[in-house]
Amino acid sequence: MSRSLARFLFAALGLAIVSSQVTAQDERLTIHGSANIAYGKTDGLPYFGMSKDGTSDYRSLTLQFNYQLDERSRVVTQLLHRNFGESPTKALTPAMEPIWAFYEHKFENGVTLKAGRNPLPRGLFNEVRFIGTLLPFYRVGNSVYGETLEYIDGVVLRKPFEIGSGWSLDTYVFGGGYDLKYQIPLASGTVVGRLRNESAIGTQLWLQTPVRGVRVGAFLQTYQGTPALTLPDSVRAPRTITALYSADATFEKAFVRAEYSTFDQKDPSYLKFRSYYVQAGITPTERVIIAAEYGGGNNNLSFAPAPLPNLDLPLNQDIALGFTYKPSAQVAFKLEGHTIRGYAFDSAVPSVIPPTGPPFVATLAPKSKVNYLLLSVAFAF
Amino acid sequence: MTTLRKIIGGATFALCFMAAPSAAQDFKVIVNSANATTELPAATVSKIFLKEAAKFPNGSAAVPVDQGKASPVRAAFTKAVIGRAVSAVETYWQQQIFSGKDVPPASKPSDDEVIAFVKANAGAIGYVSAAASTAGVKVVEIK
Repeated sequence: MSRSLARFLFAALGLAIVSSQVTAQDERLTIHGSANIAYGKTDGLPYFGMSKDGTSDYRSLTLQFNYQLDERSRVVTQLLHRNFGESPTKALTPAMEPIWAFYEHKFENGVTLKAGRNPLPRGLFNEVRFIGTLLPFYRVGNSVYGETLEYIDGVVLRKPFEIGSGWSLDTYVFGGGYDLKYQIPLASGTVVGRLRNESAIGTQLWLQTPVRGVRVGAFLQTYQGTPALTLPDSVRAPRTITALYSADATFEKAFVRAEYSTFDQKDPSYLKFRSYYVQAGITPTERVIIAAEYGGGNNNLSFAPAPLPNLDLPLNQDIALGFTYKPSAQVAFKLEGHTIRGYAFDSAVPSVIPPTGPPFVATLAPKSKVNYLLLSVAFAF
Repeated sequence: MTTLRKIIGGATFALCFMAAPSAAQDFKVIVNSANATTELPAATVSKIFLKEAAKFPNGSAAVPVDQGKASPVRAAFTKAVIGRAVSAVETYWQQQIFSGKDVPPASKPSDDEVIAFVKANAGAIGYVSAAASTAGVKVVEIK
């Protein structure tokens, strides 16, 4: 057992003991938790912490405490422990992280206010990205969700509206700041880091159609990267704009989902990032899910004012097929296979071949490829 | 052929006989005796139990109380009023819990405990098996 897991379990046990004593006196406290534990193996290149040697040191665990203060108010904390094999992002990941710690108040007019470290309403899966019993694959579409925007330190307001004739609108607005993690494989080694984005404001809208299970959503946000805050205003980068569009049709026997993300930054050169995934599946019985997913995207880099043409760097292509067996709503066993083609792995692969002379046109190396299998068990209570 | 007809006929009769209790309501929805509500649309009760609505139509606060996950009366209530299987509602609650939206209603292990909870809470709404004694609480008609 790794030291980080031992520390998490020790802390969780301590909290659970304390909580059980409180529960005995007070039914206002509820405790929930989840685990998503896997064995993963690639056939070559290391990817997402997996290698060709295989790893069973792969998991995410959550523990949530909800305390109802009164009819309209509550406080919630959720702790997260995660370890994804030998992923380079381990260097940025504490053994246990309070991903949520918020106060919530529901007003008489239907508005809900959350203040503190809040789940960030973004797309179909952002808030539940670690809850394996709710996901058809171990991870949510990486090209769209990545390892960032997991929460927001600030305020989230929500107001649902009934439009009529079966239509409804669920509206969120939020403001605050959050961490952004990055992983860049270079020939000299993989670089990981954490940035802080502040002064973020945005919205997530969900339009529920009269067809039960069919909805569309849009997320729009603008923020300021904090490295720029140390610079004088004259050279401060413009605010970044990011959006995510979602469509979801989930029926009793089948589902189709797609999300498309955009990210536009000028700092000072132009970075235009587009990513997407499409996911479809069938549920022939209540206990079985067979799902397929395709994800990818493109990163357009402008090097202006340097005399270099723009470069289109394709993101990793991920083709996945997964089988889930759910003996109950609380437990899921999954087997999934992925084929990844691209340039972003846990170790450096040939990518951009720099120009050596005029007209300074960079070229791309052939894509590298890896296959991986992931076997996982998830439970939630 | 005659034997086959008898088997089919017998099986049909048995299925009808078995299905009969489900066709009638296997549960009663109850509220606190001080609650003025006498009847409720099934859609309203569903919204209250999924915490999509926090009030009765008369404007008073509603506090739903469920029964245990394995309880037959919960299965009957969930299917008839919410229109889903208990496992689908469990998945719904996981979505709500782990997206930070809400937690499920309190759950009681027996009819007696549900009745005691409803008696003790003015805004409470629960359900019990059709055979349960409902003295001290009010049975609400579901439309």
